[in-house]
Amino acid sequence: MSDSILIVHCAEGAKKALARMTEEGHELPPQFKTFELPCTGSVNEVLLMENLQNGANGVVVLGCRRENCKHLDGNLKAERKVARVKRLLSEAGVEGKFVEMVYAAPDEGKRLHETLLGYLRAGEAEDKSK
Amino acid sequence: MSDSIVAVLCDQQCSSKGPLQKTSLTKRLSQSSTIGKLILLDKACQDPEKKLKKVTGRKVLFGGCPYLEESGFYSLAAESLGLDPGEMLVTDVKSSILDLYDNSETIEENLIGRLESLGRLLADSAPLKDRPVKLKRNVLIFGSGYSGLKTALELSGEKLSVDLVETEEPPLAPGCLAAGLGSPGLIEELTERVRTSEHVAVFPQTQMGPIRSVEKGFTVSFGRGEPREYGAVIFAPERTEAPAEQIGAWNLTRLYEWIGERRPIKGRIVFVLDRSSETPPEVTQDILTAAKVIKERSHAEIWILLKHIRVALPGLQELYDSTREMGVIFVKYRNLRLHNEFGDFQIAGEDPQSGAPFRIDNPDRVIIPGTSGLSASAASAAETLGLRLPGGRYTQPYSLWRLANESNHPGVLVCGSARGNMDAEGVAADAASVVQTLRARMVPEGITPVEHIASVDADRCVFCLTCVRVCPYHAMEKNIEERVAQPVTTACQGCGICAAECPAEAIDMRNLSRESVLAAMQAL
Amino acid sequence: MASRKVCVIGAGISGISVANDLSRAGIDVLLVDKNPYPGGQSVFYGCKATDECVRCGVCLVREAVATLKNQSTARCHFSSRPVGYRASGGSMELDIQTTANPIDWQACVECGRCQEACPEQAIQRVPGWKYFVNQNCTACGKCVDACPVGAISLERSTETKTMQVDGIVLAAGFEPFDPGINRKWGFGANPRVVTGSQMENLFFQEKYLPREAQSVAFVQCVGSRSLMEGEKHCSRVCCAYALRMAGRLKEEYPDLDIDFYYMDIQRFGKNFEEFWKQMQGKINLIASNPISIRTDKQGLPVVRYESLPELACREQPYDVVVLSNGITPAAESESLADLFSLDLDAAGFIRPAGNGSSVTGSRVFTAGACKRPMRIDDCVEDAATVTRRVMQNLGVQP
Repeated sequence: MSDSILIVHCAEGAKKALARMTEEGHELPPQFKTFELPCTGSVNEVLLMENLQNGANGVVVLGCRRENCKHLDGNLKAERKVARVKRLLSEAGVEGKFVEMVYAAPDEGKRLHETLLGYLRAGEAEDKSK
Repeated sequence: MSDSIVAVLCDQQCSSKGPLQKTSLTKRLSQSSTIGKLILLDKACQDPEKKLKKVTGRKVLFGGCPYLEESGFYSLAAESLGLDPGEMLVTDVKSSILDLYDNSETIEENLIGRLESLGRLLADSAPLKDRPVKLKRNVLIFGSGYSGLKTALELSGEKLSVDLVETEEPPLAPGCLAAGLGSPGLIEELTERVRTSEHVAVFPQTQMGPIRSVEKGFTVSFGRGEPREYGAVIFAPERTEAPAEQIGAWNLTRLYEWIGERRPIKGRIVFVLDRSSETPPEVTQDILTAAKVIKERSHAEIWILLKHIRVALPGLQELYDSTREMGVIFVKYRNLRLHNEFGDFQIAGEDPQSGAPFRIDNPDRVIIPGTSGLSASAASAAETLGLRLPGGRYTQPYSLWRLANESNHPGVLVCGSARGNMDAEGVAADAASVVQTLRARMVPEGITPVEHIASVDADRCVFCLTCVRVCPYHAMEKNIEERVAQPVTTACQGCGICAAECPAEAIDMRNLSRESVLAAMQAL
Repeated sequence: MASRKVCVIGAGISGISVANDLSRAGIDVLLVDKNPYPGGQSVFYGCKATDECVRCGVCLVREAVATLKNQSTARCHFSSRPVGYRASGGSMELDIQTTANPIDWQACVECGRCQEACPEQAIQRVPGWKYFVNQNCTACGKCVDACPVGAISLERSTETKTMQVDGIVLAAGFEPFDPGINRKWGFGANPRVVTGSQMENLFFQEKYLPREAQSVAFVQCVGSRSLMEGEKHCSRVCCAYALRMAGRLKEEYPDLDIDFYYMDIQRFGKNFEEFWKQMQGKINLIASNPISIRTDKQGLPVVRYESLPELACREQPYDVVVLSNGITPAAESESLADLFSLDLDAAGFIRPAGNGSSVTGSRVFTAGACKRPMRIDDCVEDAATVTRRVMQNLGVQP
C-alpha cells in the first residue's frame, strides 16, 4: 500500500527544507516523489483528489510554517483544503488513501525527514493490520 | 519550433552515486510522448559552449546541479540557443533526485518520472515575450510627521518627484521629539526644508481621493485635479498614543506637550510602565529624558514603576544610571493595583522578588503610557492601500521573507514610526533604508512580470471578487465596465492562491495551468 | 564611467547583505573575510521554529548566502584580512592578505567525497556553499586523493594584494563573550555547562540536548550589564535567543523542566506580548542572577542563587546549563580602528562612521554588530541603510 507518496511542496521554504534535508544526508525511500508549486496555497481539492485517484496512495502537502509563508497565508489556505479532502475521504469511506499537511521551516532537515518517514511507516502499519 | 522536447542532463560524473547510464535512460524515454531526445553531457560545467551546439530549434529541459546555475550555464544556454522564457525549463536533479535516493534503479525511475513530468509542463507552456514595465518615477509619501519629512528629504536627493500628503497637524514625531524635548525646533526646521524643496509637492489629505493600482504603479487624484500617477507609495505616518487607560492619568503625549510648553510639574509624580503592554526601550528612553528634564526644572519627587528594566539600546544603561543619580526612584512591581477616586490615586503593589508590599499615596500626577498605534485616518489609508496590519498596530506582515521596508502590497513601502517603535535616529536610518528598498523596485530597466502570473478567463469569471479579496498582494483589480477581475502584472507574484480559490475555476497561472499540472503530477 | 569598487570587510550577515545590495546596484564589490567560509557567526545557528515561525532570522542568513552564491556578482576573498590602508586625496588603497584554502572553489563540484574521506572531520561546509578545511586538518592528504577533479592541494600559500577602492564597509561582527574568564560560571570545568553560541550550534545540527536530559537552566546576562563580570552594556540578543531556544526545547521535549534565571527581560519583535504570554506557561522564571555554578558528585552542574522570597541561598542541579553569553566587540576592533583611523566607544565597539552625511568625507562605513549589539533582523535592516549611504557617497544615481 505504501506504494507512492506525492509530496507537493512550495518553491520557497519547503523547497529549502528539502534541500537542507538532502544536504544533511537524509535520504527518502523511493516511494516519495516531489512536485514543486509556487505556493502551497495554489493546491485545490481537485488536485489532491485526482492524484489519489491516479495511483498515489498519499499526498503530503509540504508548506512553510505559520507566519513564515512568503505569500502571507498560503499555507493556512492549503491546510483548509487538506482538511476538507480528509473529511470527504472519511465520509466517503475511502480507505488506504491519505492526505496530510506538513509544515517545515527552511532550516529543518532531520525533523522533516522523520516526519515524512512517519507517513511511510503509518502506511506500512495499516498494511500489516489488514 | 519542433514539438518534442530535448532533455539535456549533466552526466554528474562528480556525483558520489556514479555516472548515469545513458542506454537504459534512453530506452525508457523512447516510450515517452513528451521527451523526444535525451542528451547526456559529460561534466556540463566544462566547455559549455562546445557542448551546447548539439541542441537547437526545440524546447529544452535542463537537469543538472546547482553549480551549473551558479556558473551561469543556464543563462548562457538560453542566450546561445535563442530561447525565450517559457521555452526552457531548468531542474536541479542533483539534490532533488541523485542525493535523495540511494540505488541506481530508484534514481533512474525517479529521474524519468521527473523528466516526463516537467516535460509535460514545458510542452504546454507558451514562450513569454514580456517587455519590462517601467514604473512611473514619482513617489507619493503619505505622512507629514517626522518620518514622512525625513523620507521626503532623503528622496529629494534622487531624481524622483515626490508628492507629500499632509496628515497630522501639527506634525507628529516619535516620542518626545514633537515637544522639542530632545532637539528643540527640529520638526519646524524639517517642515520648512521640505516645503521649500523644489522636488517635493505638498497636498492636504482632505483632498486625496481613492488609490488605484495600475500597471505602472498607482493613481490617485487630489481634489478635482487630474489623476496623478506614482511608481511607489511610501506609507510613513506617525504613531499616535491612545489616552491613558485610567481617567485622570496622563499619557505621554500629554506630558510631553506640558513639558514642551514649560508648564510647571511639581510634587509627587509616578510613571507606571509595562501596564497593558510591555513598554519598548525607545519609549523608556524618552520617559527617562523627560524625567530628567522635570527633575532639573522643579525637583519634583519622581517614581518610575516598571516590571523590567529595558536596556537593549546603546546608551540606555548609562541613561538609567544618570537618571537614578538625579534622585528618580525606580521600583519593580508585580500585582499593581491602581485605585482611582475622582482623580485621586492610590497605588499599591509588591516587589516581584521578595513579595514585600509597597504603597504610594496621593501622587500629584500619574502618567501611564498609552498603547501606541495608528491614528484613524492613517488606519483607513492603510486599508485603502491594502496593507495587512497584524494586531492593528504594525503595518507589515510578520513574515520575515521581506526586505526591510516592504509590505504585502508590492509598490507600497512602509517607513519610520509606522513600522514599529523607533527613536529619532532609528527613523533617520529607516528613511535611508526605504530609499534603498525603493531602488530595488524602481529599477531603470523596469519590472518583468513573473512567469506564472494569473490570467483570468473572462468568459468564466462571475465577478464574485473572491480573488480580489484573497490576493495577498492586492494584485487583482476590479474591471467594473467589463465585470471581470484583472491581474495587475507588475504586482502579481504568481503564488496561485487566486486560481485555487476561484469558485468558477476561471483563473489559471501562466505556463502552469490546471491541466498541465495534473498531467505533470500523473507522469511522476 | 568605470564602475565603482567597494570592499566589504567581514562576510557575516551584515557584510553579505551589504555586498548583495551593492552588487545589485552595479557596484563592483570585493567581499573579504578572515574565515574560509561566508556567514560569520550566525550561519551556524539553528532554526527555532515551534509550530510557528518565531522569526529568529537564521533562515535569512542562509538566504543571504544563497543570494551571494547564485545572483550576486560580488567577488569573495576568504581567509583574508586587511593589512594596510592608505588614503590620500580621493583615492584609497587597501592591502589584503589572503591565505589560500586547500580546496579550490573554481574546480570544486561539491560531490562531498573529500568530506567522506577525511578521518579528522576537518572538512566542513556551510549549507549552500562549498567545502572548506577547518583547523582539525592534519595534512594527511586523503582528501587530495579522494577528489575526482583534483581541486585540493595542501600547499597554503599566502599572498598580499593591493587594491584601489572607492569605498570600504567594515562589517567585522562581534566576539561572543567567553564565560571561561570567570570561574563562577563553571564554564570549561563541566561539559554540561554550555554557552548560548554552543547551544546555537547544537540547534544547527538538530541535536539539542542529551537524550536523558530532564531539566535545563538558562542563565541570562552572562557577560552583560555588569562591569565586574564582563561588559556594562546590554547585549540585546540574549533574551531573544534564549527565550526562543527555550520554546523550541519545550516543543522537542515536552516534559523538560526549564528554569530561566534573569534580571530583566528585553522586548523584541512585533508580537512580543503574545510570545511572552506563551513562554510564561512553558518556563519557570527565576528573577535572580546566579551566584555561582559548581559541579556535584554526579557530575551535574548545580546553580547557586539567592532566593529573595525566602531570603536564603538555594542550590538546584540541572542536566544542562545554558549560559546566554553576550556580544562583545569584534576581536579585530582595535586593529581595524587603528588601520582606518576610527574611534572606539566606551565599550570597545567601533563608532559608526560614514552614516551621517552624504557629502564627501571619509569613505569608510560601518555596518552591523561591530557598531553595537544587533540581532539578525537588525543587521539586515542596518545593511539597507548602510548601502544607501555608500551609494549616496559614491554618487551612484539610479
